[in-house]
Amino acid sequence: MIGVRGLSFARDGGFALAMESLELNDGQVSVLVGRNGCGKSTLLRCLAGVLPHEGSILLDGVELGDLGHRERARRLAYLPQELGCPHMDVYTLACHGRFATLGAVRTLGERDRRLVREAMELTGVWELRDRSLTDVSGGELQRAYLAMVVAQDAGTLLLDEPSAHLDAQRGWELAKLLRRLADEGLAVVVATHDVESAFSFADEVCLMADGRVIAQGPPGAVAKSGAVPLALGVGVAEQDDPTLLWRYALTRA
Amino acid sequence: MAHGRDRTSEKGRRACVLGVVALALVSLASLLWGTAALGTREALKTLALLASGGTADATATLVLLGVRLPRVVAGMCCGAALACAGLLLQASLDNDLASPGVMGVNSGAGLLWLAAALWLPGHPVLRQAMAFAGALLATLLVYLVSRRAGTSRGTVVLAGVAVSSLMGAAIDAIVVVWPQSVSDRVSFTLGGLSGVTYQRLALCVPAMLVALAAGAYLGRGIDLLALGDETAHGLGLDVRACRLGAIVCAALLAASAVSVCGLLSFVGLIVPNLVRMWARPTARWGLVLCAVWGAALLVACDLVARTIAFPYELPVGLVLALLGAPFFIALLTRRGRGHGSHSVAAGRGGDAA
Repeated sequence: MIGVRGLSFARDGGFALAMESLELNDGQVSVLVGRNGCGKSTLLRCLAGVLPHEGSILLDGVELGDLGHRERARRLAYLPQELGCPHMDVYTLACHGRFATLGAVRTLGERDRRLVREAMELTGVWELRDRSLTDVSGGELQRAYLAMVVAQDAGTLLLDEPSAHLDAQRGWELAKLLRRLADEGLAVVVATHDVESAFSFADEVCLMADGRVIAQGPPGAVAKSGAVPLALGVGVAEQDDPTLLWRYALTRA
Repeated sequence: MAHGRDRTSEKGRRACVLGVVALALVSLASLLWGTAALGTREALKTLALLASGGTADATATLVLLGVRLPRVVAGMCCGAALACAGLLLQASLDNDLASPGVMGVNSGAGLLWLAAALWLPGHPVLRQAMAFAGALLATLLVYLVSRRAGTSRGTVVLAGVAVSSLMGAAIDAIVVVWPQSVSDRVSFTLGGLSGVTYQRLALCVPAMLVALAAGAYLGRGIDLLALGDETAHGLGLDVRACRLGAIVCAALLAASAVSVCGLLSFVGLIVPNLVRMWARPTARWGLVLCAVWGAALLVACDLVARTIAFPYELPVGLVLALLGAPFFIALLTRRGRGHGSHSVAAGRGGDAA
């Protein structure tokens, strides 16, 4: 479980993030939804310990700032929106997910290699293991990074726009993967501007606007709360048609 | 099917073996071939006699063991140190144009080493420490200038060039006003291996080994830096400490080399880039390859420098500059065409260095 108490962050340009309390529980997919610039990525970066902030962030009851870098990474995995493309192959990238658990000499053991392989098979990149990151598509690169964070084997996953470069099919598969990880007990926190998929696969939606969470709860409750048009400028409604890919669809505000 | 990782290791092993063979060949050539009163045949005979425990001619032995051998050893050590320093700087700054020469690290080390030689004679250990401090000072200056002027790769290199020029000017001023501060001015300012003694090497080699070991320990963390600061942070790396550690190791390596061979440039630029182009190694493997090929390059260039213009001996820095400048231009041109950036691909986004 990851939670905040009295969190605030301010940037020079005037943007500010402020929330009195927020809890994102284990075993569920929590999605941060909002317009561009509403603070989703900033919140994730604060939760990951990337940005300095005021207030308290608790990870499984422990203050985040009290954890060492590697201890934090053993409990919490973070994938930012901007992904580098260094000259290495997909397998090497996935192996980097085990960094926090390696000993002083930093060599991979059998268990590490097994976890890496499982993560790569789960994210569908095992077949790409020999390919250089510079030779794969944007979507394949994103899945390779997903394999890396899954291989980290942390209890909390923070993902910033993980489906940004994925096609519809892969986006759907990602949603199922995150669902599966949550069912295994992980706290999965996703920031996305894709409203339909967010409402459709999340257990909890946190609607954000101007650096604050203005509504939080199950998707159905948030969709009916009237806050969605205020935050997004559009509405969202549950659909009855079982042939649709996503259960929720956008409506006019 | 071998993993890409296995193929990279295979390329790395092959490059290492070739590098060791090249180093052995140029080292042997450098021992046997020279312009002193010791021809190749006589040198070979002397070497064979010494290797079998026999007694060889005193003059020949002196030339071989007292003049050429320390020079070869110095070439190996300094070449390895400068190449590894270049690799560490390039990885930590995410900039394939970074090198101890370009970034002013060498000049900073040289300036304080010279000042210590002038005002604190008879304290060789202190001189070495001052060289290290000078290397760190130059790095700090580049960092401060970059913070004000911008942290793009080009700006960081320009800051390095500015700091290097400033330090270089101060060195020239000292050498002109106090010519006694350095025994061979040209050899120091351009970089050279003439007059190297085992005593000078004995002071520097332990520092080089410590820095190399520390660099190897940081290796896995250095690999993560290539993914971007936020991603590396998410994986558990203390990004600031790792980057600082790599820079300190680079400064120590460069300072150790400068106190032996003067202000040698381009080894730290050429070798890491060639190693990366050929084998795309991890940081640890990269250090091994840079050490081997940096050593081979410097020993080979030194051999050329002292034989090509017989009876005159060119400073080895001159030969390196003739090789390195066109390489630098080719690297710039390649980057301008969109190749060579090893951390961010256009259009996919990436974290700033």
